[in-house]
Amino acid sequence: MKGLNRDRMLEEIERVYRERFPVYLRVAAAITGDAELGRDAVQEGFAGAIRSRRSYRSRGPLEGWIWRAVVNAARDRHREPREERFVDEPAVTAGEERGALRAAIARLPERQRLAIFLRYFGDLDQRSIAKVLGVRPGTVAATLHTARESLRSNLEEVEAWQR
Amino acid sequence: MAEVDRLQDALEGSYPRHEDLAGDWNDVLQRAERSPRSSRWALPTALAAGAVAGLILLLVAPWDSGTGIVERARAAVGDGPVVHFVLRSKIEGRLVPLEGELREQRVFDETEIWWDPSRGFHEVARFGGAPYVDALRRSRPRPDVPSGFVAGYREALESGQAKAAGDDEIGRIKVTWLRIRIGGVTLEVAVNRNSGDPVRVKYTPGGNAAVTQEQDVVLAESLPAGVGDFSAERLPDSGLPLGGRSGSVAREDKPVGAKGAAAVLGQAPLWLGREHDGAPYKGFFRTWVQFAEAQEPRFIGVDAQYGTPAPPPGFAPSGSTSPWTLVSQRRSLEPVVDLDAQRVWPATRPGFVLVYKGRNPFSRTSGYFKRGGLYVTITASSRDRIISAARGARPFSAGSGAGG
Repeated sequence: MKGLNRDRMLEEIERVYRERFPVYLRVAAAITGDAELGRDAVQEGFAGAIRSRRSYRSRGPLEGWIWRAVVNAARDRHREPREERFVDEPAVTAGEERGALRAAIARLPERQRLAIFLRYFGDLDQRSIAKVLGVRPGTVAATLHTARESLRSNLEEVEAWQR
Repeated sequence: MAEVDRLQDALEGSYPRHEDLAGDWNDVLQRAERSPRSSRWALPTALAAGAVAGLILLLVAPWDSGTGIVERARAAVGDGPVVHFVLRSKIEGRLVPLEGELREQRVFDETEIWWDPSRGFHEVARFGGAPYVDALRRSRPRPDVPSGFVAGYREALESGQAKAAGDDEIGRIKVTWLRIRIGGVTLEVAVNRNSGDPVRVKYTPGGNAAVTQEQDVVLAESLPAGVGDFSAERLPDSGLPLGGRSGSVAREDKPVGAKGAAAVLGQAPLWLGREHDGAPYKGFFRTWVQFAEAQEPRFIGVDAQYGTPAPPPGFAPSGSTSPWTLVSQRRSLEPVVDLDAQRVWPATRPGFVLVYKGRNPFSRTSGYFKRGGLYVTITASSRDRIISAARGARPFSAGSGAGG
């Protein structure tokens, strides 16, 4: 661990947790598809960050490093019990844009889905998303563009139903 | 409504904020004390692990063999199927602003590598953050540094052949050197004695220390399946030479006037005035390149010379310590002249001079910057002179008294 000693690091992780818990929760809940599972993922992600804080290397903000731990914990929980849970929801019914959008997002490839959640719920920029997903910022830009295109066509479809 | 806003609104309505769920920091701390993914099996598992560990202690005495540090090194990389490393070579440069306060920003030469046996090997080399190599290969790389190291490090640690080879300290980090074998090649890896993280990797071909290659390990991790960057991107076409052409390059013995220099460059040449920090102006000298004897030499640039340049490193010493400065300027780059062009020029930034010494043992520390369509390279008898010349270079104007 460079830059921060262990106790200071713990304080910093706690600060991020207290200030940003609702944001982490929202992203994790979106990934897992369940608020309780999302909360469990946030708790476990932060716990994992504490356990492995020696490996933090100050290459980028601490918060981004924690994001990776939380997202991985959420992905684990999403895979385990109720995989592709949103796909089972009714697709498009009149006035149910909500379910339709969630179903469309559930059908996106995982990287696109994570990028959407991190961008819109986590409010992360492309550089930070790239660090969380282990890809380059240019890849994130392309991923977000493709995801938006897929979702846009879905939104138009829903609007057509509502007219 | 903008499309992005529509999506934002739709997402807001589709995913609730869960404001009823609060955080619990004490729960986080308690979880952190337990092993990851703890369950009802945690206690029995821990007890069993403790018993096994005790047995191992009795049988193996790891403090004698170095097994402990090898295991820590193996654990530090993780178990994900995708391996992701960032390695930093010994090559570095400094960006210095051309105006204002003198401050220096270090820039590094780094290689980022992803290796996934099912997707291939993706390597991006960057100098100062600017990519100059972006290659995706399906085949397993050669075992030398850095590519083979990344692909084979984890297996080498698991092979049982990795041996501790002594302790050391690198940048205040206490390390143990491990000797590992990858594809018949022996590499030495310094790992953090506490965390097991790799810190530096060293390869000495044929045991010849004079040609040892070293890279610092900036990042070493494994990623889950499907994660990582395996899409090589075409680098922007910078018009830089790709190398491989042979030819000769030379400079005229006699200077030309400013008009002659401008004719080569298509614009007024840069210069430093009638003298530069004690070195008198000697004139503009045209440089030319010739790729085949049948071809006419082609003028490619101009050197504004101050004082008498010393021979390059490795050549006969000049016996003179007189100050000198050379401002080389060209409209285009040529492979036979600009050996490091692929690395250097993408790393330059508007408003800065990049001070850098090339890999070639005969190369000098030089300053690089672009101005008005010209590629400018400054060499001088000292590093300070390079920076002062870069900051003082200006277009020659009529009436300055340089002839022509």
